[in-house]
Amino acid sequence: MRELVGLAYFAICAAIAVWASRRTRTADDFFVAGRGVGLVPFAIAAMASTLSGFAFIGGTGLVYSIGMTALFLILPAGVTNTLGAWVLGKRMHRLGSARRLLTVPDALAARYRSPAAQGLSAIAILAGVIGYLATNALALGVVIDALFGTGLGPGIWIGTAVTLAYSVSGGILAGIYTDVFQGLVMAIASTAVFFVALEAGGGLPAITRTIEAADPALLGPWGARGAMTALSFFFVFAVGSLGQPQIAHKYYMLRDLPRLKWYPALMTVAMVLAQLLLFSVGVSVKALVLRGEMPALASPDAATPQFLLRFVPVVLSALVFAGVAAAIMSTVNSFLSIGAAALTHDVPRALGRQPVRQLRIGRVWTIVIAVLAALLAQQAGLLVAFLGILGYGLFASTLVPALAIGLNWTGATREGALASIATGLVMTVGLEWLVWSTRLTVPQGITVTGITLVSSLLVFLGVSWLTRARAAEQLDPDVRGILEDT
Amino acid sequence: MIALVVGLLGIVGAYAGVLLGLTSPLAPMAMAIGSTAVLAGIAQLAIVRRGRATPRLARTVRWVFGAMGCGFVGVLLMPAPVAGGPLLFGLPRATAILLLVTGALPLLALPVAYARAFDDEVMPAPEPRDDA
Repeated sequence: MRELVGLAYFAICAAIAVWASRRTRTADDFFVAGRGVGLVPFAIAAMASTLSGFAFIGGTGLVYSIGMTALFLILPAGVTNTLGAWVLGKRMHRLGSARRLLTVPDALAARYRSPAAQGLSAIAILAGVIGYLATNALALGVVIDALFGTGLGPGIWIGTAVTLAYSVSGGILAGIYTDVFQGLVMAIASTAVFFVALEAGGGLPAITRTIEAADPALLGPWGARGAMTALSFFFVFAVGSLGQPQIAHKYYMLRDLPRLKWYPALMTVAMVLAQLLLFSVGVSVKALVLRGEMPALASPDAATPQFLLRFVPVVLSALVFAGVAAAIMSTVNSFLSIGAAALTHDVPRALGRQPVRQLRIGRVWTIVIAVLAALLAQQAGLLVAFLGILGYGLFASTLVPALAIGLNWTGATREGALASIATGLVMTVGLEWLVWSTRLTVPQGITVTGITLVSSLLVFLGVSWLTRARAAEQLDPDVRGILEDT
Repeated sequence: MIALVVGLLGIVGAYAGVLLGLTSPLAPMAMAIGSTAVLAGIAQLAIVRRGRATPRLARTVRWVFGAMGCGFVGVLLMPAPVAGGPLLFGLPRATAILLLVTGALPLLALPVAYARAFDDEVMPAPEPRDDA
């Protein structure tokens, strides 16, 4: 049954991709979906590309092991869904329409009149994209192996090939419409499992009583890791969300600005539904294991698979596996598009060349990046673990200051933007490498991304203040008009 | 901008406290206030129109982020949870309060406030007409 549902899922994705790829004729279609996406597909696609397999596997395992602390990874969604539209949505959309922009580094080049800002941010985005893609390719391989018994290595290649098929033929246009289907699968699967999980645990009060008898801190307000770690997560995931290029880039695709009005509300509903599983399965499995109704887990990441095997009807568990694949594939497609755009469009522009034949070259780079990520994913457990950590922190520390603050503050300068992007890039790679290779230990309560994000924000504000005399001359009149909202 | 800078300095102070091994409860307090202030500062920057904050969204920023900051600090001041304590919505009371004030409140209030203010305060101002 699981195989049948899995095949049906991949068949529907393929059908949508064929339909969308027939509509992909220009670079605008390939990279920004022809700037013609409506509200509902826009919001669901944003949700689907934001959530990776973490929402179904890794996040559940974290709730199982550190309790409420893990919830601070998703708690910021209450703020970030609206703040993204509020801080970036309108200005990115207007800038994109006025200048026919294709990428996030394009917006930085326009804002600061700086090819260097475009090039440097493209490098940061590429490094983060490769990291994200390698971990997601590995996760997709695990899911395909679980569904069809292919083995991990072939599973990685099969998953990569399927995602590549629609990413290459239809670009982000195919990605958006497959995201809508994938987002719906994620939300339905997550909501259904939420109720099954609470019922299996005997209801939330019974689950709470079981867990607090063993460890009262786990379901206390800050969880097992304490207030400092929880609040550090909150800061990193609330502020860092404003620098995630897979979301910022989507604002170019919206058909017109008035459609932004209900985007935060719709995105919020979609996100809440898709994340219900994360909390409910995490705490239910913890209670069931403590009561001896489930054997102890080999690793926290086994929480969702073990729960699905023991407590969930086979059709629903197959739907959840499809939901995991959906979460991963929608994220992969978005990152493939961003990575290919950086190489096709941003790097040539940063070097002073006019990008040519972007549709064809974009397709070639999409293949190259996907194959590279799949090759890296074969090194499961070593390099991939390091690369996976890099992505979010790199985007947050390099893009939040220059993009999220810079598009809302006319006092920001080119020098401030370049210094902050460089600070974020060097500090994130350096510190994460030191921590990963155990040459540096960060005390509990602090995250490397927290340090790098604060540092790049302070560098941005400080250097912009020191060079404030140049701020006005670095703003083109049309860009100033958009920033000042006139 | 002041909220943003003060918030960042609060976070730097909180991290410095942890790095120096200080066990003072002031570190999480500074982290809570700093994080909320940074978010409020960024939100405030984004609602400035021709040099002035738009009124409805400015009120939303003050109330929602103010409540979030108070929620974090209030729960930090509450005693540590014990087994068998009172539950609210099936969770320990302090946990439920924290989730309601810092999760559910902004989740409901911000999208609605944004949509309500959209036509007047978010959409670009119309071009001034030259009737001469």
